[in-house]
Amino acid sequence: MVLQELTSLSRDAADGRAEIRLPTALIDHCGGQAVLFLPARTIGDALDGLVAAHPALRRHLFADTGGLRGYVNVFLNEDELRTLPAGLSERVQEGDVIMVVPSIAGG
Amino acid sequence: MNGLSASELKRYSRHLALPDVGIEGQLALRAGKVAIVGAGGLGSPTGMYLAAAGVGKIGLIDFDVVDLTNLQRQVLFSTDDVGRGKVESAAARLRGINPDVDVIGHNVRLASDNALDILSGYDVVIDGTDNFPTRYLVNDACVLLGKPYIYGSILRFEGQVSVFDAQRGPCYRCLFREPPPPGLVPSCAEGGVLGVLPGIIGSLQALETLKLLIGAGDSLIGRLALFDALSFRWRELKLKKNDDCPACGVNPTITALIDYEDFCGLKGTAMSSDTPGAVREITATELKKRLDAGEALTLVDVREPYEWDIANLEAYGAKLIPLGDITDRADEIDRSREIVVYCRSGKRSESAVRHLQGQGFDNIWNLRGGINGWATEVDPDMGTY
Repeated sequence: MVLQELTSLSRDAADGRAEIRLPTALIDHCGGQAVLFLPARTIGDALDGLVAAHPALRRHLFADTGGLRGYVNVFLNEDELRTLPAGLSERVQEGDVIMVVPSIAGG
Repeated sequence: MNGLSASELKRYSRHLALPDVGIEGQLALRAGKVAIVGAGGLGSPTGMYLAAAGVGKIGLIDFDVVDLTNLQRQVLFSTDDVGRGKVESAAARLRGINPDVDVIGHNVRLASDNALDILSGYDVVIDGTDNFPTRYLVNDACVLLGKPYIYGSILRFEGQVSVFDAQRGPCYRCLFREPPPPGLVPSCAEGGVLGVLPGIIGSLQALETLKLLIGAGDSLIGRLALFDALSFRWRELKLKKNDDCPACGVNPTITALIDYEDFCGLKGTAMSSDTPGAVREITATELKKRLDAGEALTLVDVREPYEWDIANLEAYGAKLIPLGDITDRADEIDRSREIVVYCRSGKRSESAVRHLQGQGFDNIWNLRGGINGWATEVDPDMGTY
């Protein structure tokens, strides 16, 4: 019971860090880092934190209207953002991985 | 008796030993018809493995010729093939691997006016192209024809692979609703690619094709596999059909092939300086003449740092601002003088010029043919890449 509560506390910690993985096509805009850890409660928090820390990424991820660009997909673990019930408000828990997957065309 | 000749029984003996293949599976491969769009890095391993496996009919679609820069990864070709047509060279190679395979060469650029006609002759379509317009074209043609589309894509050290089949799962447009603006996502020519990477991803495309033809195993339909070669990490993501997809959704709006160059924003580049909003071009010869005459010009190189190290125009005061940084660093460009922007071949710099024009830079030119044009016209010792 105590263990469960501790686990629950840890998972709901507001200052939990989200792991964000960026593809090679975007890492030039964030200092070459492919993996970043940012404090975030939700996917939206994580992406906001990402572009706040690396402003050059903003126009690659977000349209001027604020929505995610159509050639960029965001996954929480193995699930695509738009298939998640809460979308950008989906809670991020300890150990979760947010993956940014853009279209690439090399062949 | 069993449908395979004595020679086939021997050639495919390792397939016949597999419970999931056997004689029935081998006959299915022999009856299979597969189109490979693009005889490049991905098309090389897919073509070779499909031919070796005994796929009955392989269609190769490409319009290009073999270039020296291809050989680092396009293992279909040898040094002697440089300058030859890709389809002709590749077809000869595949026939050499397996003379029983019917190799059909389509020495054309796949386009809206021929794609349905060409691809309708095949059961499965493999995408080994290197550009966004053709990828959307292949996807839409496959959706309209009801054929599976074996997707693979690579850049630097990363690859993506999936199987799109609108009748059983999502299509390419379900995942990527719109193409990136021209110049935003680097191509392999710009960003580079490790030579073995298309070997890995293309082999997986061949694998998924063979599984579909045989009807064995679990297909990648509804899944996207990502490979990062540097960290040796695989990830598998779930893909779902998008009900709003314009190609395969509930109410599709794409009921015929469209203009894919236009869709990807690659049209409307008027070269006349009289056209409002057009990108003005200057040739390397003309630029050299003006520089030699002592004209003060601002030269901006929008390539990547590694390209700058290969060759640059620093001797003429060029400044490196990679295309991805051009928005943030536009204020570093001296706009009191005429500006000439260049890249490797002239495409990225055209995109940069358009962008800068939008920010009020009006006295600005694109170097036609990029630094490769400069090397060809002005400084042959520089070499092209």
